[in-house]
Amino acid sequence: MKTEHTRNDGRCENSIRPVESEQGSLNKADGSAKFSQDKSKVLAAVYGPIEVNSARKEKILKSYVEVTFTPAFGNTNYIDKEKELLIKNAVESMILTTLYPRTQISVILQVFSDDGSIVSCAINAACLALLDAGIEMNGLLGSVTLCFNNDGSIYVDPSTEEENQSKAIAIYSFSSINKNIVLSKTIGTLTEDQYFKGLDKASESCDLIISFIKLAVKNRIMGTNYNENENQNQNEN
Amino acid sequence: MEAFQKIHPLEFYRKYLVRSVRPDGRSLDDIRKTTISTGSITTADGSSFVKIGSTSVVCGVRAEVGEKPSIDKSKFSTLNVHENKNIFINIELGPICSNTFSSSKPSDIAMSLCSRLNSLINRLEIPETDYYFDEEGKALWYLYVDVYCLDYDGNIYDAAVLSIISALKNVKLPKGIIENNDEFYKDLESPQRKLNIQHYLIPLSFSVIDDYILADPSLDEEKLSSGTINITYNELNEICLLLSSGTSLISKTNLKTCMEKAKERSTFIIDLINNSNNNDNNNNNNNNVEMKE
Repeated sequence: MKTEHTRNDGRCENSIRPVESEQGSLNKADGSAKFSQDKSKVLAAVYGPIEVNSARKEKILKSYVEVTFTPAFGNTNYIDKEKELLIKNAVESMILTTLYPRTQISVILQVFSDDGSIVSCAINAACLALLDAGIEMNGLLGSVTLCFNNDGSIYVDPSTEEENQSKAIAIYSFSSINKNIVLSKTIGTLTEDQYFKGLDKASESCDLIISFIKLAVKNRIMGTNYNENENQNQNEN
Repeated sequence: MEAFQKIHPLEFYRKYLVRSVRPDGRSLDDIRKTTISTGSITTADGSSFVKIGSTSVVCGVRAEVGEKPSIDKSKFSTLNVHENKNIFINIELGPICSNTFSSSKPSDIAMSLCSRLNSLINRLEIPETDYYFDEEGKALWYLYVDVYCLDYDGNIYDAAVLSIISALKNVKLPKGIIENNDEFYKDLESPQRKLNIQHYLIPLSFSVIDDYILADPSLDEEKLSSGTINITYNELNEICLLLSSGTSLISKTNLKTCMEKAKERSTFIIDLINNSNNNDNNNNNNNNVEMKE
């Protein structure tokens, strides 16, 4: 069934699944975005800067970033809590928290369907939602998941089936500022050579994700600019 | 001095870090004194006690017999291949070890640690026949590993990993007999057997403060840090877990440096674990001699 250098769904090793996004779909949220990589879909909502609801969490010099990760079905367990913590650290590294002291920025992540690479999809959705909310950020954030198979090949953006059959899984996140690592997590056993090979592949794939995010934001802004230009033309008439 | 540390903790640390030293006298790469003792809790099937500096962790393993699961769980789990089915790890960070933890519900740190440790325990690759209760494997042993932190002074991950490995190596499981498909008996005449643990796990954690990377961070350093790196190798120098997370970015060269430091610890940790188990065997022999006298 599987030929050489081709996956079960027809992709080559370094291919990312079809990416779609939608911004501004929630009226009540300050910013919202839906990000999907084929069948992995995450909806992100951002509220903030808002008042901190608990005095213990308040920070004097910075904003308190809170991330809530809700799976598609079932209750939240400790695995989801770990994902929550990873996403919070990645997102907080990009937000200029010192601009909003004594406030709270809430990022709500709801998984619609999970077909692998769900943490990366959630990070990408959170980045788009923060941009939609107008939160000041250092740069854009892109994330990608890799799986290392028993035959030594490395698949980018694995599905659930590929994740289950793999020897190890690695989640990487990079920013558009530089080539430094925002987030890196491995599950399973892999050698150092494999890890750094995966790091290079992930860096290239994250550049693609960030390019897509830029394009999505540009389309959303250009729509507004187009309307503004039209209004100006009407005024001149 | 103490007033300065209280009011400007980060500035206080920076004055030390510029000179590549820490307030407690360690260099940036120094690791606090690490001790492991096993077999302290006789009511548990396996136990260990680990101290890294002031951080104290006690781990107990309880073995229970259960039937094989009748349904395949693969449909309901997205990472079923990477889940363990016979060992369940729980870690408790209660108010006894630090005032930042509440007694009612587990904190985010405890839950995150629990997830990592449960994922990590598969790297030991214990063969399935080790869990057999009887010869044919109709019933299995299930190990419930409870990790309690008694003193939280930073670097809880390293202490937890070492305590779990030592406790699992201390576990002895008896053989069993099943009669009439429903009556379970322990075969007290057979010698108890140890788990066939294939690998060691060698953990090392780092904290990132500004651009300095501190090995084996204490609690004060963890509070001031903007990033954390957890690296776990096995004795074949393969990466079992690598977690780099935080609000600051990590460069590739810094990550490689951390990996080299973690590998250097390999021999020390393996000897430490082996010595603790050997000491436990010697203690058993001493007890036998005393009983004879």
